[in-house]
Amino acid sequence: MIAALNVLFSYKELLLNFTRKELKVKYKNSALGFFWSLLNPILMMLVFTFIFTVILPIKNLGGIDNFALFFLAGFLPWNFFSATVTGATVSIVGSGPLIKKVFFPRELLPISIGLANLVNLALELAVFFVFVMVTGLISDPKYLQFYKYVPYLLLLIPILFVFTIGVSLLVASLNVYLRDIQHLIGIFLMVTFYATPIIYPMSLVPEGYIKAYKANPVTAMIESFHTVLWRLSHPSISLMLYSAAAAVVIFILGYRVFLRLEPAFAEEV
Amino acid sequence: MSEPAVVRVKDVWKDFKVYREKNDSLKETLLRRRRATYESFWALQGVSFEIAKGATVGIIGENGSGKSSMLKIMAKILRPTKGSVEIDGKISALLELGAGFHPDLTGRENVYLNGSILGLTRAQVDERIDTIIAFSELQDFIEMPVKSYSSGMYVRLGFAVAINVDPDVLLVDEILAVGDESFQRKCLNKLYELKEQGKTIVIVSHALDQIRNICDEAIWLEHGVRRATGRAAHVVDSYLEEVNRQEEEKASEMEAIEHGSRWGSGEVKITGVRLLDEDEKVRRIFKTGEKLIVEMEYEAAQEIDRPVFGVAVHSRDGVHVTGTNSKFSGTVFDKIQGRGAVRYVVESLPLLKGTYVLSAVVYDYACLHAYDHHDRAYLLEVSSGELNDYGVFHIPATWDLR
Repeated sequence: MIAALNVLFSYKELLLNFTRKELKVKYKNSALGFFWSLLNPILMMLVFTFIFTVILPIKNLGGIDNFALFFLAGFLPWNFFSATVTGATVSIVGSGPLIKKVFFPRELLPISIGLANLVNLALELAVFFVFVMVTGLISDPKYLQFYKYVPYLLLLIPILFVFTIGVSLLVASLNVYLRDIQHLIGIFLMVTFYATPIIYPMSLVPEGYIKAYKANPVTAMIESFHTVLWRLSHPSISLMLYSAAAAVVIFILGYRVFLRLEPAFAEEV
Repeated sequence: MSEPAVVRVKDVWKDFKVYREKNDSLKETLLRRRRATYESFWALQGVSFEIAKGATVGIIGENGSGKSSMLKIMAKILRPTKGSVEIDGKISALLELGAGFHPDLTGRENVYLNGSILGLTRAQVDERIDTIIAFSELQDFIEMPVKSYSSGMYVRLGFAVAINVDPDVLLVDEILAVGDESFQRKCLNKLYELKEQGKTIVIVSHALDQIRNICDEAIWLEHGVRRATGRAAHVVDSYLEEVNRQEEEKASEMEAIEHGSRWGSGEVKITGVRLLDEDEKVRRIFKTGEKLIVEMEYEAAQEIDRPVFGVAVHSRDGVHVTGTNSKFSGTVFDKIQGRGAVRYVVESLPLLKGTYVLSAVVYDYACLHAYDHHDRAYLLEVSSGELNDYGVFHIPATWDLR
């Protein structure tokens, strides 16, 4: 696997080109082009703010004072995870002609999808910071202090990235042999979404389920994001260690399975 | 051949699973409780060879002989089931032109993407982009998305990128058959240029003339086994002989082509047409310069006065190559009745390589009334043999420098 990582590094140029292609193709032929990457999160935040303050004003749900902010703090990293895994699942089977005719490390395909989504996450976070500032200015001055905790993202995002790529490599390679994966993955993501405290806070989870929740590494990651972006505090060391360990384990597992299945991709896609 | 080997193929085996019913879905896997039933198909069975640095080698063989699998294994796209392939230096495989093109990106963007798929860095593409665009002759279209390209333009851009990768070992699969005549020639010239620069080139092709012309050596694969290796012209010839032999076995008796039409009043009927060689054996494939006898068997129900037998040759694309009859040749058959045969003898066949269709006819002496006319009903295959001439006809001639 170390050797594979070395080879991967020597293909960094191609990786960047694939990533660039992902980003370019997404907004090709649209009048606003790359601007959509900013417009999407802006509109999303406006909609959520409207819903959770006007239509469904959630006050003091498990101690949440600004629900839109809470929701987005967990939803943005979730969105990265979910979009990457969904895209990666079909990245190998969707590139049949390329895989049958050209040699390059196949893992570049799912990883480039992760990188493209990482760019989107960065843009969304930038919009989110503006959003937090505005919220801070008009409602609660404590949000103006959010920048103090932003550096933690430099730890959290890489952990999330490694974890996501691990899952992506696993499902992308399995899907070559078992095409049900691409249908199952939607259900799996939906269940995980609701089983993770994203639209409700951890404090509302009944006592009996807490253990199961804590075992879920996605929960550990989302909780850390909540702490940094919404609670405005230092994330817990144990949660970070747990998610980092989970990320490494999943990555090694996913990459191993991928490398094991990779040799026959050209025959199976 | 003192150059060291840069390609070493050692005892390569490759099997493909041919699924009887492939379990692509979870339900099937669970229901059947095993992955799937399949049979192994051995595409390559212990192939070994070495290629010296700077050599140009062709791999030939019929469809399913394993030559494309061999090339894909060399390109690292497929892994051998057993055995090993070692290649020194940078490999570039031209298996499909423009395989990595994205329809929504412009020509220029695709050059960068495709270049990096083929192993070039951004700086290297920067350096070569002008050459690549000039080679593709797409200057006016390079900023347009490639989905608006014609297939010819697409392939031209693909070839232009691939050929400018500057590999040590170039693997080429059947791609010289693309583009129009002038672009094909340009590609061939480029290949010759690379050959002269001392690149090692491996070509898989059905275009045996190209193999004969470009390659120094050829490898003949048959059902996954190496049947012959050696000087390209020599291997190509023995391969052709084998193909001809097999074809003749299949078609020892000439069959009429179904869509050939037939008309005539029927007083004399042509009951069979056979192509014979100088040993009077039935053949279907002849080489340029060989003796050809067209034998027409007839049956005349009544006595026929001075019948005229004729033969016409058309090329497959409809050109009327020749048409003649016994009267033109000054031969008069007085009377015929009952069964018999007439022979049209060509001492040295002047037709060049290709497929031709023969018509066999019998008319009255005025050549106005058709007794029996089999229009373009019989196939004649011609292989060039030792000749490299182009066209349909070999004109015996000599060259003289003064």
